[in-house]
Amino acid sequence: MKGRIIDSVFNVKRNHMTWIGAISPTPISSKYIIKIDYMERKSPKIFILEPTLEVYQDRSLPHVYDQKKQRLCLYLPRSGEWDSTMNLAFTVIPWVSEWLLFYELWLVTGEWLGGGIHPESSKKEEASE
Amino acid sequence: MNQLIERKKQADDIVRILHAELDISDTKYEEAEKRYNAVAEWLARSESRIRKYSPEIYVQGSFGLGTVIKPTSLDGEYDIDAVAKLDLSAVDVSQKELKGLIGDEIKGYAISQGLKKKPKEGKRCWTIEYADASKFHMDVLPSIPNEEAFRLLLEEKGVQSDWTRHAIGITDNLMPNYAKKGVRWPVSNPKGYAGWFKSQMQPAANEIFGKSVTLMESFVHVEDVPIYRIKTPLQRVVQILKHHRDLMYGDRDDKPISIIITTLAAHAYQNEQNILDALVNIVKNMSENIDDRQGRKWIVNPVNPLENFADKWTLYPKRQIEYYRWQKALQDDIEKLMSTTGGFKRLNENLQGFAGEKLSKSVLSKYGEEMREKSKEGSLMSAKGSGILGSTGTTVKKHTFYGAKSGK
Repeated sequence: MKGRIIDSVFNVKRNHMTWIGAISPTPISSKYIIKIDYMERKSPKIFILEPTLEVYQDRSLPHVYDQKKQRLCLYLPRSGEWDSTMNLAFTVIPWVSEWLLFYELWLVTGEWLGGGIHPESSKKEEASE
Repeated sequence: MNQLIERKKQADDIVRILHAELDISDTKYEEAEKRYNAVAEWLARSESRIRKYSPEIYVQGSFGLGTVIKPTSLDGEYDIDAVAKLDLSAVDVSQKELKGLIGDEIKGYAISQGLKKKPKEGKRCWTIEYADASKFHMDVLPSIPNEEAFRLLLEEKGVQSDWTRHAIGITDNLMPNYAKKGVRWPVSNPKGYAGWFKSQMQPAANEIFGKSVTLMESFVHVEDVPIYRIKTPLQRVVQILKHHRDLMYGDRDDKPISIIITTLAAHAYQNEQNILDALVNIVKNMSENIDDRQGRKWIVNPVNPLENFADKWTLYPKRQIEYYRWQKALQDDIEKLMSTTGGFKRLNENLQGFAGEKLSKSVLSKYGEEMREKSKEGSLMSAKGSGILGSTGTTVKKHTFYGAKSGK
């Protein structure tokens, strides 16, 4: 992971890795500081450290595990979309960019345009919420 | 990854999507064509009192140039401008008589179609109101051929033009000689103007034709293709500019008029193939084609050296002020579009001048849908270093967003 991103902090303890870096999803976007927490044999946890994300009208953030901690849901758990053999830099980082892109568009339109699934319903959302 | 290139690409996508939202379908053009062809048939039918004068109808205005935009207001309508030409001379007939001859047939047409509203008489036209779901109304401009007289007039004034062919004499019921025979008629040349407009974008049109399998399959020469099917960046920019003007002025009298916008844009167009480049360059350079002649502004009609499209600016100085104010707003809005930072929220604000609130959201929605499609196809990349999404970097692998639904 180290050589992949500039301006990032990389911290490795016995079986626990933390990476903090800046991502900007599009040329016009601001920078977001993200943290990836990876414990061996567990799923990576992804957080937006900065800024505190705004919301559309009075809704809550979509596709997060935790509103306050701003922990993102980027893939279906146990679906094989991510497993521990994959390289975080090549899978998770691009997914964060994508999440941020659709987040920014959600902020303007109120629609989540990135597709996805919610755990309560098995209804697949296509273009909008 | 070159940030500037990705930025430009993104702006280009946004402008392309914005244009698509403003544009009307080919079907709408075909519908318009059916309407004026139907009027042409009526004028030439066996019972028509003007059949013996070989009536001809052709389209002019934005339907003739391929620059029609969707009406800005909910109850807005489409204006079809049509020329009705009879083979008569100014010696045979007065303007008043010609207007009446054509008017009678138009009134008969409206009755035959069961139109609720009677055709309206304007200063120069008859207006047919179609009161149906199509939201069309048609302005029919009675005219006679006038090439010779026009050439003589130009010679008299010591000027010349390459575009005298197709010049027509038109009627104007405010003219003092309106009811007299054997006088000079007001002149116009919509066919000539359309020819000039096409010449300003011919290289771009040729390239588009050459690259389009669909068009090349249906047409032998680029000249055979209906003008609204080519859609050069010039046409698209004219549409974007007209919409920007509509948002800023609504129905106000002092708004910059479409013929001025169209003419200045066509002068400034350098056959750019890319819509963003064309927009930026046209906005930057269009005012250079306004001349100063002895303290008055002249936007000369490219096909009539005697006509000044800005002649009303002398009578109504506010219109000149408004033109330049609109220009400044355009420059500012382009600047905003090209240099947005702070995310899509900011871009949405910066798009207001070109799109307005509702359309701006719609444009960004469509942009999001396009990005999602790219992601699904595996063609969305995340750049090394910044994570910026575009066409370079690591492919965004297939995944499904999960987690809580956004609620209140």
